[in-house]
Amino acid sequence: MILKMKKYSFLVYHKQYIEFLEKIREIGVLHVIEKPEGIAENDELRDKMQLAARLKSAIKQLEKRTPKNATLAEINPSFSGLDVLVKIENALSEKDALEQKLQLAEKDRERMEVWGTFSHDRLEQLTDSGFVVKFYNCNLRKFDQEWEVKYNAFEIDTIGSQRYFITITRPDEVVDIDADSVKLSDKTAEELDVEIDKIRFAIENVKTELIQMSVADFNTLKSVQIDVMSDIDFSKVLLNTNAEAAEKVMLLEGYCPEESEEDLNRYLDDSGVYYEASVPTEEDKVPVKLKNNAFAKLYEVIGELYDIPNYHELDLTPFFAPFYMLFFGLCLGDAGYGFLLVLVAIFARKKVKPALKPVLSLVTWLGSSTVIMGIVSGTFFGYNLLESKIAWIEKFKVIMLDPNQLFYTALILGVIQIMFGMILKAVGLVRRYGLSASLSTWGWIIILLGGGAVYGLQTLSVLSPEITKWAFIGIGSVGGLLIFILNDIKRNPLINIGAGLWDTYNMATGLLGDVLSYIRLFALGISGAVMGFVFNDLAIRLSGDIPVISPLIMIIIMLIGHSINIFMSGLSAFVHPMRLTFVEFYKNSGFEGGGKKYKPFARYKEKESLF
Amino acid sequence: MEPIILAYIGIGLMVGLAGVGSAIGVTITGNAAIGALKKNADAFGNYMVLSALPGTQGLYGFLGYFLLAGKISPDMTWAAAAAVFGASLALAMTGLLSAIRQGQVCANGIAGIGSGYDVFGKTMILAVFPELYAIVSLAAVFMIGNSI
Repeated sequence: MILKMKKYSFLVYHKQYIEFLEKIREIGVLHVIEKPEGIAENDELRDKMQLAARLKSAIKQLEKRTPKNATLAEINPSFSGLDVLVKIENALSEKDALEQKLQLAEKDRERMEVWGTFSHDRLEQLTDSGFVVKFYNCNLRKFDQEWEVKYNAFEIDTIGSQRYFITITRPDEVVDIDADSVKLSDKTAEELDVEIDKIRFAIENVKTELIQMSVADFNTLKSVQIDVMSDIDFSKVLLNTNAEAAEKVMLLEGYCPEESEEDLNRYLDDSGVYYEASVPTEEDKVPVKLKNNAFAKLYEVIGELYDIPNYHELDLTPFFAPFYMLFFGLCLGDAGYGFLLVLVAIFARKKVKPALKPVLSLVTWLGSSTVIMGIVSGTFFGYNLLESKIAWIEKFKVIMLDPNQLFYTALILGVIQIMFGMILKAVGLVRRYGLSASLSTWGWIIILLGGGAVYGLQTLSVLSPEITKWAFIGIGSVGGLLIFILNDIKRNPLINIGAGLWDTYNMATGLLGDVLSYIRLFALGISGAVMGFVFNDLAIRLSGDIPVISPLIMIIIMLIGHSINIFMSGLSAFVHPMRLTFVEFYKNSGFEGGGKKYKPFARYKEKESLF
Repeated sequence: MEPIILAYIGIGLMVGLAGVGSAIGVTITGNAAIGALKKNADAFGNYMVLSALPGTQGLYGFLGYFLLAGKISPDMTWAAAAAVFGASLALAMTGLLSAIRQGQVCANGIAGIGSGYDVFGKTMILAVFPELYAIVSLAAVFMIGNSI
């Protein structure tokens, strides 16, 4: 359910405002209303956010380099956090520059390797004495022997199909040959080797330095980050404050959950700040904080993937949770996989960090549902339980359904969820707008449920044809009245009839499609089971008859096959019930969405993400 | 020519073309997801869900075979073979084309989320519409199978 909130407005004298805000932050329950036109471009805030971004990337770099099992040093108060940040950023950019230099040097070295050891000084001396040495390389086939005579070409080396040679000519001679002239770098290969070693050494030093910093400065940097983020939050609240009465009075508005009101009120009464608390109206955009029992709470994550309900409507999480669990079990449809899920989840739950524990609890529930639905559809690791001759399985066969029955079960589950959704919609409308707004929904529910019940009873011969006829007429007229005439009491009845016709068209096309959509539960369940069966069959056939190796091959094939199947079926079982919830169920429950999550102005705490 | 040949041609088309449709559909969405990850890596959960949606048509094709398998035998009549072929052809065509088009819808949604628009829920709703026809074909296969 969605927690009730109260709207608070504060008028604070500007000199006491900062102190007031700090106290509000301490209490940490007020969700500040943001100005509808947004916060104006504020240079200070922008700078702070840039700083926050720099800190975030520096912390990430440090995290990458922290050695395992290292104990991080405590926060060092003698260092200013910003100095530490600059130190780290400098080290990182130095490392990048050195690595680039290394790349260039290595490329140069490769180029120079062919020419071996020589002295640039000697070359210069030669040039001064009137002998110009030029360096060339060309394809072996293109090398012309004539050049050896004409230009004094000397071969230095031939590697593969490339020949490297020099020519020695007079300074004024033009060497016009079909070969690529090579530009030498300033150093020879040997000298470059020395330089490369130096650069590598320097890089290692910087890396060691960074590792040291990751241990010594991590906590300091983290604390700076917390400070900066708190600062940003505080600035945002300041910017969302309205300054009134020639900037002497600060007006702040926000929402507080009713259950946390006491703490806030106590401070406000003590401090003597002027405030007003009111119940939000239908037009207010109130933030949403969900509160559910331990079971439904696990499914809030799934609901958030789509949209949060807005404050004024019903929270559908506890209503879709059991259906989701059921559908997941039906889609994965294999008792063996379910057992595996439960075991893995229980085992892993002890070892993961607290943020992931609810996810694993959810997996445990879903796994248990899969075990039950797996037995109902008669599958265990691809083995068909319905046709098995094992004695103790016989008594379970009463609850097993064959594929034909499963098909109708899926459709019936769809009808149940849709009708349940419609009832929720009607109840929600009554709660929000009063009985008159919900009449047409009740009309549809009466026609669908009533009609269905009468039809069912007639098929089972409980009702005679006479009574059935009158029952249909009765249901039809009451429903028709509600849908066509009373759907909007304040409106002209003729327009109502038109609207009713439009409603009927939507219902007819929409409902059929929605119910049929639930066939996917049957489809996914059966195909998963059949895939498992196919893998088992493959494993048995392909393994042959060799005494020791055959069982081994069989097990390997089964492991690979069932792993693939668990992954693919699991993904489908996760996605499709979600889709059924968000599209078919939410649509028929009149879900509007668009809610804003409740985020109180409080001490900065780091958000942990799941992916 | 024996009736069973016609029946199996139909089955082959149904399982094959529906599978091809899903393969192409999820490839289209997968490509879009990789592109969107470059812009916005945080929404991977959304991309995963939308990418998986076009995958169902292949399963429907497979399931269709399963539903009709009991009616196929070497001594089946021409009427039965014709029913199997007709049902299979229906699911083959709707599966193939609806999966590809659904993939394109989902890919657009993924691209939108990558660009920062909040369109996850609405994309899911719009992606339902092409799939409806594959589901209707599957229901037809089921009913035809029961009527043989």
